[in-house]
Amino acid sequence: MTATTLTTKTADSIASTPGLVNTIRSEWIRIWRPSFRYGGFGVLAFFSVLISYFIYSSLADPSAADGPAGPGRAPTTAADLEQAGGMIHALGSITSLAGIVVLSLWAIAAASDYDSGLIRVLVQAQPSRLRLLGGKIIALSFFTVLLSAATVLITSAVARPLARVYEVDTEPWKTDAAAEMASGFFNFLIPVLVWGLIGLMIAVLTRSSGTAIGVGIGWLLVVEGLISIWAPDITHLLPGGTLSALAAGGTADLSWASALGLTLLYGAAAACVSLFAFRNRDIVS
Amino acid sequence: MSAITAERLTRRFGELTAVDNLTFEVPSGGVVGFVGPNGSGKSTTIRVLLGLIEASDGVGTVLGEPITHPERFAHRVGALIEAPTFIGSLSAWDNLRSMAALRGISERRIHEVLEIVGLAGREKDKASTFSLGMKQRLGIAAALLPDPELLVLDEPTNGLDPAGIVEIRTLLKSLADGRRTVVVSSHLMSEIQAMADDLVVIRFGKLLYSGSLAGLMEDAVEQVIAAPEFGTDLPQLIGAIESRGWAYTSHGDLVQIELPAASSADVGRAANEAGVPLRQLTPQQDNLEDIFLRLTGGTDAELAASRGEQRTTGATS
Repeated sequence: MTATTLTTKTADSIASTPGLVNTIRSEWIRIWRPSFRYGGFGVLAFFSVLISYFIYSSLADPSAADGPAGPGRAPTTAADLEQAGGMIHALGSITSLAGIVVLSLWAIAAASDYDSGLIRVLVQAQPSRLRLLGGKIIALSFFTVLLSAATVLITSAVARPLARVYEVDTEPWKTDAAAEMASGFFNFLIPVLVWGLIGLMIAVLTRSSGTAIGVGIGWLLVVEGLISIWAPDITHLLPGGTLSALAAGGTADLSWASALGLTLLYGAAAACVSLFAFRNRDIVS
Repeated sequence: MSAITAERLTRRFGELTAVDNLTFEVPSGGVVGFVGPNGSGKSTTIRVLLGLIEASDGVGTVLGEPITHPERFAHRVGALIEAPTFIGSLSAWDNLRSMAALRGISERRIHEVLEIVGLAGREKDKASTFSLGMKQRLGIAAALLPDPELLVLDEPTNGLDPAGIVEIRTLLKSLADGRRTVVVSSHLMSEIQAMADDLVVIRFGKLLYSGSLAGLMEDAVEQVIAAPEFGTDLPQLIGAIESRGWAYTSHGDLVQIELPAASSADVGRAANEAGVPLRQLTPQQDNLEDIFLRLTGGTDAELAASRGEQRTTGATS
């Protein structure tokens, strides 16, 4: 065909206003690239196995028990594991690290569009910025659901051989296994999704994946730690503390329902700030 | 209908006015050169027109639709803004598939655009393995996906070697037809002169010229340059020129005669009749760059310096 021919068929196939589904499909192709796919699943699988091992091995050596426990969490005992849902008990400790991984992935997905200049092409092709970012959030959420499901499956899969090695009774695991898995999956997924939204928000505001990841991890590991020294009474209400509390199924300071409500609030706030900033700021990169 | 119109278009970034009260019109069909030196506001103007950044003032239309509603024309416009951008770890096919999906375009069109830009057969290669020229062509392929009525290419020959520049120029000429308008922004005047039908010339965000290339080239100064083989013959040569009433200037043993370039044979005959053998007889016509410099009255460095002085003066006064 010649370059000068305007193809009627193609013109017919063009929707006058690309829809949200198109945006999600487009985003998914970019998210499902090898570095993202193998990086995301690989790192979370690694952490799942490593933290599970630490938890089970610390049962044999109680002096090492503090290691994997998250904020507001007591060291794991054999009794904790010998309960219904014990096979995914490690998820509570994996959540913070998984949150960092997901925050980084979402931040990279959003900020790399600015870093590379791809954002110019995307916004020109889809001028509705709310639809563009909405599609990205939905695609990344679906990716995070897959990541979370894989993490839950891997954690439960490695629990059984570890229990055998460290002589943990697995008989209670047979009680309501499906319901326990579903509940563990939910308590893992929601905080991780909100970490992703926070990563997205920082990336949209800073327009740099490196800065976004640095700020996110710095907040979780440094700022919340410092606040816990100065104002320990509010630590459980901060994003890191709240999300960890939800992942743990609630803590003494924050019930599961309160943690869920506060987590959803953080998620909604992050999404709103991202959408507002993305919609109103010029594309100058 | 005009492909693009701008009326008093202005964009300020703090105290800097990047686009300053621009009013111009781009006719439909053909190649339109958007010319100006680096930092003249070309990219900012394009971003304003395509809805990437908001205008501080003024109005504009793209394909008859207001630039404040880019969703009304986005599906009829393809653009390559500054450097082509792709995900290096994805194949050319997947990069285009992602853009096609965003626009709701069938994958069949990907084959077509790869064919047009000459990348058919390379679609499975990762974008990171492409040369700069191939990346530019891939960027143009992405811009062609919606089979656009208006194709806007910002510096499409940036960083290319001479062969690559010729390749892209040939491609762009082939893309412009009666229905499609190709707007090419560039700081390379020679490139624009070689392919454009119409021009929009800006500098420091201000409009210098808008109209046909031919119209601008009418202002080109034509002259014939002659030099005698022996310096001692210069007075006889000048005498022959003066006797015919031709205006001239001399620099050393070079004589610049203000005559149409086609009159060099007349100069040769005059020298011959005066018995002056010539070392040089060269017809010369201003190119776009010469005209551009005459329009602006100086080189980039000179104007930038004078602009800096004005700002300094303004700041201290």
